[in-house]
Amino acid sequence: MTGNREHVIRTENLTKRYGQLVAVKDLNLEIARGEVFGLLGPNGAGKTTTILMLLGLTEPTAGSVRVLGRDPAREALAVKARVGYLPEDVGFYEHLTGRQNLMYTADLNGLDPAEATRRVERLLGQVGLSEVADKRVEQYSHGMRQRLGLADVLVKDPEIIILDEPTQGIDPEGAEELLALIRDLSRNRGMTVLISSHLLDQMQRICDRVAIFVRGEVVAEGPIETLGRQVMRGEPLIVEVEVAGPDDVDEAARSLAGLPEVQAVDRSGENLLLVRCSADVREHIASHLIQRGFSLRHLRLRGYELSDIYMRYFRGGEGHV
Amino acid sequence: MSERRRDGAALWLGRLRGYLWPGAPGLRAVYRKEMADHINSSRFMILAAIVAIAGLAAIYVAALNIRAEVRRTAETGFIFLRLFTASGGSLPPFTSFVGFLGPLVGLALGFDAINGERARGTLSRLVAQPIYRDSVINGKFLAGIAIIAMMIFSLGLIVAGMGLSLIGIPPTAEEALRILCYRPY
Repeated sequence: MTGNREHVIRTENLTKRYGQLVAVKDLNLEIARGEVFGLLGPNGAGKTTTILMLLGLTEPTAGSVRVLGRDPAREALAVKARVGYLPEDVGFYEHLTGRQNLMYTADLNGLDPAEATRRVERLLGQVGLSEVADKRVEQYSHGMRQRLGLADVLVKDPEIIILDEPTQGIDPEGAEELLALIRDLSRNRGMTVLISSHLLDQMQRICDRVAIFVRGEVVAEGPIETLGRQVMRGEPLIVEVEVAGPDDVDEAARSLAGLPEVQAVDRSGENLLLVRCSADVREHIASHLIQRGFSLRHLRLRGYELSDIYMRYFRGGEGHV
Repeated sequence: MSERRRDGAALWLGRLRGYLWPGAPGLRAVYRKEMADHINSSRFMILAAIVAIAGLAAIYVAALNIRAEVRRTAETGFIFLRLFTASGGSLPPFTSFVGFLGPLVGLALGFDAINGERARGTLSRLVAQPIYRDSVINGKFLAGIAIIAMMIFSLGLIVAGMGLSLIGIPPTAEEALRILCYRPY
């Protein structure tokens, strides 16, 4: 992984309007080969529209898209042959078995039957559906369908896979399995993965980089660790402090309030103090408390979790359909 | 020079072939799948049964009345053919039944061809495959046509055999040819 990696997906000022509604506005994305990239945002933020444009299933109003160096609207077949897409609410032919559904996809991709049989068998094993492969899809649970969907995407042996809300509506255990499979594809097979979701905790665990989408615009983009700083710049920091003995807590709070850079001290729960400060003054807080004889149990700079960022933007995103 | 020209010709031939039936990406796959779906569907079974009953009834009635029919028109040629075209009085002739029910079966098989894929959520998966979108429509259309052709053709053979055993007059070569010509239509 060098700094100069090939960008397999690149958009420039990509815009899509539906009449008056701007679904996607001036989107600039660069996704490198082998990366797991998350499109994060509330419903109706333009994630699915972006995905459709990447696949050439809808044409951009303005701007350009390049997927594997090609324009998906002009060379749709060449792009679709190398990009796998798992739509939201994926459906299968209910009267066919899981295996037959995958064989159909293989046939559509022009695989010869012997190769198709081998590949489908391997993929069914990989997603853990070997035992139910010859049951009709109508008997599958939601989680099994999503896993079958992932296998379906992989039948063409793609370089990029695009998953639209893959964990939507599955139980946490099933979601965990699916995410493990996706992570494995990226790590071991070098596949580029683009996932859209509104479930930030899941994205946080598997994405190398995320872009947060609100009302068709990217409000923040980058690796998750730096995203917090990027978005919350200028906001006060919060340091968690815990001292032993509930009687000492109020006294400690009063004492801390006089420190430089400290703006406010709030008590939270039994023993926890939340110190709001304009700079990282953890050392000062620690030495201050210890010098005054408090026994310090816990001291932590509250990082900006994705949820902080998410809540901040998504609260603004509500009421917008 | 000539070699290059040959390569060029081969390239164009290949492209041409690519747009035509055997190679158009996905067409054959869609065709095969739709064909299998039709044959296994209860909808098709019911429709085929209705058409078969109508056809057999028409021929049976026509065979019972063929003597009167021939006497009435004072025309002695094409007696076997008249099994298909003569109405037995109470029922319309086989040809009108087929002419009426054939398109109806086509409608019944095709009306939800695309809409059904959309409702099941399979359309988005289908259009994300490296195939022409035309292939989806054409494949489904061809499968429907083929299945109706097979149904009508085999029904024709069955009723011809039944008519033969009922009236005992074999078709002349000309009549057999005429029947075969009518079939594709």
